Amino acid sequence: MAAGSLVLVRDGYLIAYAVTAKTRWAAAPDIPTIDEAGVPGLYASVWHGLWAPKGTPREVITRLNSAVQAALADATVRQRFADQGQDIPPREQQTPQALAAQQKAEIEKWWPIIKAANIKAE
Amino acid sequence: MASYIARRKFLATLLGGAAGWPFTARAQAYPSRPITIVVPFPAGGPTDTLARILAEHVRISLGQSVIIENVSGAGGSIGVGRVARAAPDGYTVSIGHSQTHGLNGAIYQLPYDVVKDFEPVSLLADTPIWIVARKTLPAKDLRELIAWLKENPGKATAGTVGVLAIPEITGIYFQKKTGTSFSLCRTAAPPRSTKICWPGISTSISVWRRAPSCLCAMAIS
Repeated sequence: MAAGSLVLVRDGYLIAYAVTAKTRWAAAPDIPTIDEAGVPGLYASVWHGLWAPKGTPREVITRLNSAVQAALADATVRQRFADQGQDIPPREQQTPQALAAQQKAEIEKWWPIIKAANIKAE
Repeated sequence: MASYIARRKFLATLLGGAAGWPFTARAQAYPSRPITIVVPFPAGGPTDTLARILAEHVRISLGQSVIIENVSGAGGSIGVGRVARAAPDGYTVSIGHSQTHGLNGAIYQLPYDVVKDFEPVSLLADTPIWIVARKTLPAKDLRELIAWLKENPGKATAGTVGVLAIPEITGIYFQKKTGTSFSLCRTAAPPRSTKICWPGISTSISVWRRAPSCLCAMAIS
């Protein structure tokens, strides 16, 4: 993502006004955050997560979570995620609780907007 | 159920400390066979790429093979639905994102619940939406862009890129927050896209088609 779209900016086709995040984006740190650019709080992102089916035993979730945390701490994995324009959340957010909270907050934020705009599957 | 519990209790009393052993052993044995990560999009896309990077490391930690299965269609809901119905044993898991495990619940009629049918494991990564425009637009920064949009209500078009609704709803949210008004035009996701609705930059779409990952942007023209 970073590579393809930054080429457009560098070639002079596009100007990048802001990224819709609280912090600057590692893949293009020269682009201001939305707060800096003058529209505080207009956050939107594509965030990835990992889920198991409901009812998966707690100890299995813990084992999977530890494996994911180990992967996200690995220098090679971090670099490869960064190459994809992906920011890795801080360690304290690499938990089932943080993912549940994120999912809940996003649903509360976006569902009313989607329903009001009547966005439906094509 | 009650009699089952009573029997368990009785057995536990009989066997003393060893009663918990078979259950603990089963948990410790996980994983004893390959794990499948269902990617609800085609191979080569951003979610698939992240899954493969993750899988390479996770299989070492878990000491088991990790299989990536691409089950695409219906905005990711086919693949996510497969995991919703899978046995809850940790051998089938779902990688997805803000749309598949969030927004799709409002966009699609789903045969599963994006929250209630899953156990969260971990957040993995985050990437923002960018707001970009043609270089020829007479606005040097976002404040000037907003001023320009206010002076020209309804005249601008924002192209949102990707199968995802996230850039599109960002465009709606942006208009609400800034008191601006422009139309939105959704384009297909690279690499499948051959047309784009942004005047003046269609020649550079070939660059986008080679991009390693999806580009989530809202572009004003």
